[in-house]
Amino acid sequence: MNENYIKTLNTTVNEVSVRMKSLAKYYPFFKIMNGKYSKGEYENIDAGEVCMGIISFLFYEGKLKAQHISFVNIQDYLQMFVEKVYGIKLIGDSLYKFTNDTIDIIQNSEGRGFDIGFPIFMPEIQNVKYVINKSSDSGIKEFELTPSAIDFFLETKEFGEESKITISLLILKKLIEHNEYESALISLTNVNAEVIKQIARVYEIEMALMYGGSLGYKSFLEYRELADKHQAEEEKLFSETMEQIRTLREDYATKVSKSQFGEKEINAFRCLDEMDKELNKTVELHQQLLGKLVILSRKANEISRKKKINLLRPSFDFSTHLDKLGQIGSAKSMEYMAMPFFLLNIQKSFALSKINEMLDFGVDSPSKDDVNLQNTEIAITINTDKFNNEIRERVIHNYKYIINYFFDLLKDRDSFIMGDVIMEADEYTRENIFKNPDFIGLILDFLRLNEETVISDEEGKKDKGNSSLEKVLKDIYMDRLENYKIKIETINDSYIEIALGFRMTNVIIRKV
Amino acid sequence: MDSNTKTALEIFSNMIRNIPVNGKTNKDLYRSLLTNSIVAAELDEIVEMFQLELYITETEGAFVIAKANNKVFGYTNEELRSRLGTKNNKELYLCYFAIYCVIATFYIQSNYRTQVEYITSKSLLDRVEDKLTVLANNTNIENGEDSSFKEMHKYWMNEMNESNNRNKETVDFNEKRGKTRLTLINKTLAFLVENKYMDKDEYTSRYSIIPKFEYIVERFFDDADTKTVLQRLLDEEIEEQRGNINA
Repeated sequence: MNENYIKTLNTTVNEVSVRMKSLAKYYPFFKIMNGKYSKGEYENIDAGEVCMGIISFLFYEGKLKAQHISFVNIQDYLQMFVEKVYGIKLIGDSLYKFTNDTIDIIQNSEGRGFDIGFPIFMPEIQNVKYVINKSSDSGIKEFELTPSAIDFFLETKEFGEESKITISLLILKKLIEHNEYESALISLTNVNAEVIKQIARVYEIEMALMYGGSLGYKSFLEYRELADKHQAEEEKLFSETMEQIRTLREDYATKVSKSQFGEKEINAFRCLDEMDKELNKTVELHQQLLGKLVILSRKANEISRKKKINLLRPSFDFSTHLDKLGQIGSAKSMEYMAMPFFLLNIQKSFALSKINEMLDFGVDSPSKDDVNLQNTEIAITINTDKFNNEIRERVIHNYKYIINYFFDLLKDRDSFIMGDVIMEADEYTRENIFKNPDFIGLILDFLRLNEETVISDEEGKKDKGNSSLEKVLKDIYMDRLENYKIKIETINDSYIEIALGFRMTNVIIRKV
Repeated sequence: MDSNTKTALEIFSNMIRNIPVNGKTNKDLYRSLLTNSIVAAELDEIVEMFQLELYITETEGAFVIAKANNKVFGYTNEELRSRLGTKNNKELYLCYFAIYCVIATFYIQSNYRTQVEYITSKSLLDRVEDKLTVLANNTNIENGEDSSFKEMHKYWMNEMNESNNRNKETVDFNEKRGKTRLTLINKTLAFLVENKYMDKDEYTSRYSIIPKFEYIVERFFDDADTKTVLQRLLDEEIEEQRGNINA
């Protein structure tokens, strides 16, 4: 329940029956529209159109020229109408049948007319007719329009839409002059409604202009012509009406003192007040309308220019293209059609070859580029090279240190178990040997050495990258001139804890 | 570098990173584009070199669309699938087909709108199904690829249920889960809404197109390059088929 709508709701419910009654004159036509001629014969002829033609005939010839219209007259007229409009020649029996059918449709149900009503808002009005029969003095049946029909007929054309604002304003003026303030206030709503309707029409005209082809452009020109014609008139009327209202209000306010205000005067004053406000709003709306017209006129030139350009360019027909695709059976090109809806994408990717290049940098590789770098004097030393060298030097130093320690241990025994040694080791040894960053690496390299002795290929060994340990061992063996070498083997299911929470497989180190 | 060229490059850099250049974001760049004709001309040249098309609208500002023959910007199928939320290439092509159906609903030709004001998931689903059925049945060509209408239709009918609820009365027309036809349609529509091509009215679940959509359809499909590419694709496919038939 929305409180704001209560007033409008009451107005609506009060007004609806009145509005529906005023629609009553159209209802017969809505029913007539659906009338059918006997099947097969005049399928393309529209009952609504023909009946409108007959009503027109009865109005111009019957009412305005005050002629007596009989069946034969209608028949003659229909023959001409159908030939002109549909290009169909009706003669003899078929013409007679057609005329009969048409009159039946208009008069409905043996002349009873139409029963019209709605359950709540309009109690049934029965037998609404457009055409009735009269017997002339000579006994011939004549056909005549009813007032409803005349009303309907006039409503469908006589007042041009564009001048309705003027008419509403004139009515308003008259009402004010006659001191009919209540009615005037209501009439003001009509004026507003007209202006709002015209504003809505501007949009329609714009659409017609863009898509309606030459007819659209014509309707735009007509609209603009009328708007121009009435604009000056409407502005004048608006200002006159406002003047009128203001003067009246002031009269009321100054000349008549408040104590002399009767019921009628208070009411009138209130009305004038509200009319003043409403009229201000209307003027604003009207200005808005004129503004839109100006914009539309400007757009019209641009639109027609664009259309001329577009006319020369063949446009893309979606259903034709789909048919073509259907013959091929493949939707592959649909991807291209959906692509404009995706945001631009720049593919970010690293080429695998580039990654390899980065990783191999500085290592002795047989590629030409590296050779060039090392040989030419102009070669720029790259930091990664230096960095790698530093690491290698540290590793070699540490390895030498630890291996010498192993040799010391093996002086008076053939082998020893690492776990035992670590347990018995003093603080100094622990710090420098077992907590040495390269200790684990050394053990692992030794273990790997075991696997590689199986491979006898000299070159293969070189590429394995165990060059650090090999180098170190070579040096140490030369330095110490021992008559044995060191071998390290793992002990299954045995682990040593080097540091807190850090375990490694226990190994045995022996002379070989 | 000339300051005009620099401005044009800056605008370009923003556009290709999908950063808006309009009255709200990058206001200064946008204003210089509108008022400085040299900047506009330079930008046009740059855009053309990258095989893009520049659009300027009141609502969206300046943005670029890749032309049909663009070789610089693109997606892999995987990326496309993830954007649309589809699981395989057949579903991907079905999404493309759904997008095409949306366009064809609102446009007869690229410069001629229909009177349609809105669509719903159900209406789009029906339309896609009808068109797909016709296309699949009309061709006698057996083509086992994911992009063939026959395969797409088979997948649509056999491997996807219409919706998560067999009982038609409790169907949730906004569903986006599961392997159903309705989900695919909804995901496609959601993609279009997310990228500001369509507008969804939450109360009535009606989808309507908004200016950016109109702008693109009316220009992209009229563009000579697009037509050339599409025609070339058609010709290639026809050649391929002739080759297959002869083989």
